[in-house]
Order: sequence, then C-alpha cells, then structure tokens
Amino acid sequence: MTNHVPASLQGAAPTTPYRRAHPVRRFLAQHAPALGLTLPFLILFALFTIWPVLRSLYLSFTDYDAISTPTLVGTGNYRALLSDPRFVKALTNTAAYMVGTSLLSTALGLLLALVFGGQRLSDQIMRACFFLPSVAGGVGLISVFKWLFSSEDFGLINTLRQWLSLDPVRFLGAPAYAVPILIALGVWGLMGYNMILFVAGLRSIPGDIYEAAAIDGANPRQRFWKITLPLLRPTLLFVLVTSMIGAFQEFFSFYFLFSDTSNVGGILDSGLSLVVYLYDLGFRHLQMGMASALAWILFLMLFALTLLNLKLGRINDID
Amino acid sequence: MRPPFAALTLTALLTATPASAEKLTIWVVGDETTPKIMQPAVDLYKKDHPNVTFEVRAVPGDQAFTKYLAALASRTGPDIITGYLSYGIEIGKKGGLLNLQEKYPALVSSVRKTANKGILESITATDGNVYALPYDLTVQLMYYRKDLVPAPPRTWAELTATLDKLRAGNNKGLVQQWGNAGWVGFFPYLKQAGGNLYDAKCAQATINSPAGVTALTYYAQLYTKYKGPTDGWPDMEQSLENGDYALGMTGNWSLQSIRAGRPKLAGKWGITMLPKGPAGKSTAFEGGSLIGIMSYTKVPDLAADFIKQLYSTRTTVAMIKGANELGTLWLPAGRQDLVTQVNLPADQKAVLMRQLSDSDGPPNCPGWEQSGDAVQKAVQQVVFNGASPKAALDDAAKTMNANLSKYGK
Repeated sequence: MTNHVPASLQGAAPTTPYRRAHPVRRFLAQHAPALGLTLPFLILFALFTIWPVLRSLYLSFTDYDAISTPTLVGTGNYRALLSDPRFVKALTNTAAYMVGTSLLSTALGLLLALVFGGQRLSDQIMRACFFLPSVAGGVGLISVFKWLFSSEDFGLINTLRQWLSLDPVRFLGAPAYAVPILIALGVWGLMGYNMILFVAGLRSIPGDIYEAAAIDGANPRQRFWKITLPLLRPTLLFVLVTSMIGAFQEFFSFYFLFSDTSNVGGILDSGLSLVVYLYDLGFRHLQMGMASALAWILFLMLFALTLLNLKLGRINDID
Repeated sequence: MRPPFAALTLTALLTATPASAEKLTIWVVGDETTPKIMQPAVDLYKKDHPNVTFEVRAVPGDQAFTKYLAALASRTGPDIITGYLSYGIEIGKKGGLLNLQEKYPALVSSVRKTANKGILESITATDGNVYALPYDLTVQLMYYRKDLVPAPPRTWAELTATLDKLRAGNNKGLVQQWGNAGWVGFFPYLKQAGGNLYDAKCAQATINSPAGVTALTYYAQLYTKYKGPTDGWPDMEQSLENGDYALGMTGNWSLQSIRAGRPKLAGKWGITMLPKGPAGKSTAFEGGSLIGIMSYTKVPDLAADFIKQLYSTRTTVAMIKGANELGTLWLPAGRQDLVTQVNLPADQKAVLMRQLSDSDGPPNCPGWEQSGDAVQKAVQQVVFNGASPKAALDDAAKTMNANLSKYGK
C-alpha cells in the first residue's frame, strides 16, 4: 500500500482549527444544566448512601465499639464470623425461612391470581381480602400470630386443639416450631402482594394465544404449562427475586416473636436470623466491626443469589 | 481589633455569661411514665435553682442503647441518662460516661451508704470505678393464689411437693415470667444452691460447680417434669386470674398491675419470697436502672448536683409518692431505706423488704455481657434438649473464662 500523503506534509504536526477539549470537560460542558439539576440528589446520595456503605466496608476490617477509635484487624472479623456457631445457626434459619417464604408465597400468590384474577365483584373482594395482610402487616400481624400460637388456653390454635381433645402444643416455646411459624407469618403477609403482581402479569398475556391453543385442542393444564407459565416468567422471576431478598433481610417478625429481655434469637437461637444477629452484635454487644462484616457477608450472599436467579431465569432470552 | 474578631469575642463573652440559664437534658429509659416519675425531682430542683431548665425525655428500652451510642458519636444529646445495669460499666469503660468515682467521690461514697447492695456490686467495675449510680430497681417475687395454695412453698422441696399436689388436681402449677427458661430465671436457683457465676475476684467462672449442677438440675425439672410454660414471656397475671396456674414468678411490677387491672383476683392472691435452696438462701434476681453523666456534657457539675439531689429524702419520697399517684410502683435503688414509702399493703411490703435484702444483681465481671448468651444456651440445652447439666455448664464456663481473659485485660 502506498502512502498518499504528500512528502511535504509527512512528519509535520497536524494542523487543527481548534484544540479538542478534554473528554471530562466536554461532558461537563454538554451536560451542565442536567448536572446542576441532579446535583442536590447526588450530594445527598453520596452523603447518606455511598459514604455509609464505604465506611461500613472499612469498619468491617476493624475492631470498633462505636465509642473508641477503630483499630484495624484485617480479615479477623470475617474469619471469626465464619467459625461462629451463632452465625451458622442464623444463616441456617435465614436460608430455611427464605426458601420456605419465597417459594410458598410465590406459588400461593400465583394460585390466588389464577383463581381470583377475574373482573367479577367476588374476585375483586377476594383480592382485597388477600391483599389486606400486606397493607396491615408489620407489628399488627405479628401480634395476631403471637395470639394465634400462644401456648396458653387463650391461644386460638390451642383452643381448637382442646375442642378436638388434643393436648396443647408450645408453639412459641419449642425450638422446632420457630422457623415454620415464621414462614407461615411471612407467607401470610406476602402472598397477597405477589397475587397482585401475578394478576398484572396474567393480564399482559394476549387472549388470542389461549384461543388459538384451545382451537388446537390444548387442555387447561397444557395451556397453563405451555403458555401461562413461560409468558409469566419475567413476573415470576421478579416476584421470586424480590421475595427472596425481602426474606433474607427480614427483621421484625424474628425480633418481635422470639427476642426477650435477656437475649435475642429465642430458645437455642431457633428464631435468630442474620439481620437480628447483626443487630445483636452491633447494638447490644457494641461489636460494630463484626456487625459491619456480617452486613457485607449478607450483601455478597444477596448479590450472588440475585445473579444466580437472573442466570437461571435467562432473562435476556425473553423478549 | 478587626471586626470579625470583635464579633467572635463578643459572641464568646455572651455565651459565657454566668447569668445565662443552664439546661439539663435527661433521657430516661422506659415508657412515657418514666419522665413523669422523675418530674417531682425536676420540680424540686427548679424550685431551688430557678435559672436551670430541664428537658426530660423517655427513650424506649429496645432503642436506648442505639440512641445513646448515636449521642456519643455526635457528642450531642443528653447530659444525663438512665439505663439498664450493664450500661454503666460497658459505656463508662469506653469513655462514654464520666467516671463518678474519680470526679465526684463524695457523691459516690454517700450513695454507697444507702443504696441497695446487690445493685451497687453490679455497677461497680472490678477496678473499683463507678460510672453510674443506682436509680431504681426491680426484684423477683413469687405470686400465688391463696385459694389454691393455702401455704406457699418456702423451700425447694416444698415447691416440688406443692407442684405435685397442684398437678394431681389438674392445676398447671408454676408459671415463670421474668427470665423464663433463660439465665435470668436460672440465676436465683444458682444462688439459692450456694453457687455463683464467677468467683469473688472475677478470676474464673464457677458456674459449673457442684452447686451450679444441682441448681440447673432442679431448675430444668420445673419445665421437663412440671411442664412450666416456655413461651418467651408468658402472661402470668392472666394465668393466675383464670386459675390455670396457682403459682407465678416475676418482678415486683405485678404488685401494682394485678391490683389495678385484675379485679377478679382481689383478695385471692399474695406474694412470698422465692423458695430456699440447699444453701438456705432465698436469693432473687434484681435488675433495675442506673443514672450516669455523659462524658461530653458541658455541665458536669450541674448534672452531678442534680443526681446528688435525687438521693435526698425529700426528693426520693416525692418521687415515690408521684409514682403512687400515677398508679405505678417505683423502688428507689439508691435509698433502699425509703422503699417502705411505697403504696402497698403491710404484708406485701414486708415480703418485698425481706426479698430485697436477699437479692443479687448481674455480675460485674469483665466479659459477662458477652457471656450471657452462653449461659442462656447451657440452660436451654438442658431444658429443651435434655443435655447433661454438668456438660452444658462446662461449655458455658469455657466461654465465660475465654471472655474473662479477652475483656479483663
């Protein structure tokens, strides 16, 4: 290939009519008004979100009691946590709660949406009834469950058992029942909310697909497995991921049902979750470094879980 | 002088003027009643010091520690706090509370003369430092239905004999509320058996002594053999009222609330001391709260003077009477001699005074705060999993000794 540049120009400095601005300066010049408008938010975001997150990462490598100056301990907090039986117990409880709550609330939410997803008045009333616990949730719902499962005669379930001549059961006073009761409470609070999301998802599926399938001879079961479920996959994935994340971060039900004056976590830590343990370490035992390390472990687990869910759902393949 | 400097100097002079009113901000742990209980003390102090203003605020128990830490981190907030017994040494040793022993020794020594001994021991650090003083106290008592238990049990043997009799007659027996199936519930039995959590010098854990094993064996059977309810906080008052249980154990707070809220029990209930164990003691667990001065306060002397006034006869009696009018029971931990002023029937007052003289607070040994969970676990391993009391207590002692070494340095 020959060089077409005239010899007189070869080696000479390129002549430009103006100096090209630095990319950052050019970006600032182009977007100055937008940046100006978003600056207050960016400052607050940096101050109240980015800074605390980075600070907690730093604290997770220190021994810090919230009063004295933090001292660096390397990965000591992480190593201590991973060999701590209470951490393992909290992780086991949280995992069981997460799997139970997210799967059951998703399945029951879908079932409710299929049954009560119509436009009839009765469907709307039933949807409102099932959605109510997610609106009136929190401490109120926990108090109701505390009364339902009380070991004493005024506990509703034990009263029913007595009518059937069965012995009362210590639901809230035996380690074996802690996680199942928490799952029941979580599912009760969440399934109505999931139902609403599924109803919206179901309505976005075009009706003519079902009509075509019916003409082709597909029975209701086949229509559900071959049409409804595949087309509902983005909603299903969203519901599952948010339910799992919510379950992993659950605090109130564990804390209000099972903590007492002398410890959190209930009998033999049967009601100890990761977030409750984080609170226990940080705010009852002043081990802020350990609590920060636990927060980061929690974050990494949730991050991995979400990635896995996205991978399994092959969200990118869905148009 | 240049104008900015002049303005600064003027501002500094104005803010430092002695005539300016001084303010004390006080955060008291508890519900909305707790500031009202302190109000008579505030009123009396303001009467003597008209230029002092007050802001007294309640801090819910489950949020107190967090709020105090936030105040310490920002060095703004209350000048005086009340808190649970563990707060004094824990926050004080880290520099969050003033060392009262060092800064106001006369105040500490005068309170020592009149305060409840068990609480005093709990809040005095092993090096002798005191970061907060006793404010109020609560103590475990045994409640019983007079119509179902004509003679309340006085010893461990009598307790189990009474439970046998009650259960044979279809009564459920004993409901333990405060510290149920945990270390607070086990603590009095340990003491009654002659045992202790640590030795006298806090050099090592002694929970796994023969007395400890005897105590845990006895305590566990109240749940395993006698089927005591294991819910975190069973409703003792309701259980006594409907007659399901004839005996109950909880703090002195029920003395007032049964009278006010359980009219069906009127004339049917009484209190007695906890049963005597093999060591011949009826020791009960006592808790309560303490009062201290935040290290960052700008008015330490004023705060100390206000606290000093809290222990005067005039103020303490006014607070007890104020609490009586509010329909609550307030026991002054710093003036045990004035507990007689509480509004109770004579027989109940006599039992309360006797139980207070045989009661103990949580230990003051280093690392105890980090070891409570291990003792809790040992107790529950025996109660719920049928573990051997000796093995469970050995495990707890191991953790306690490790924490003694770690936090005792």
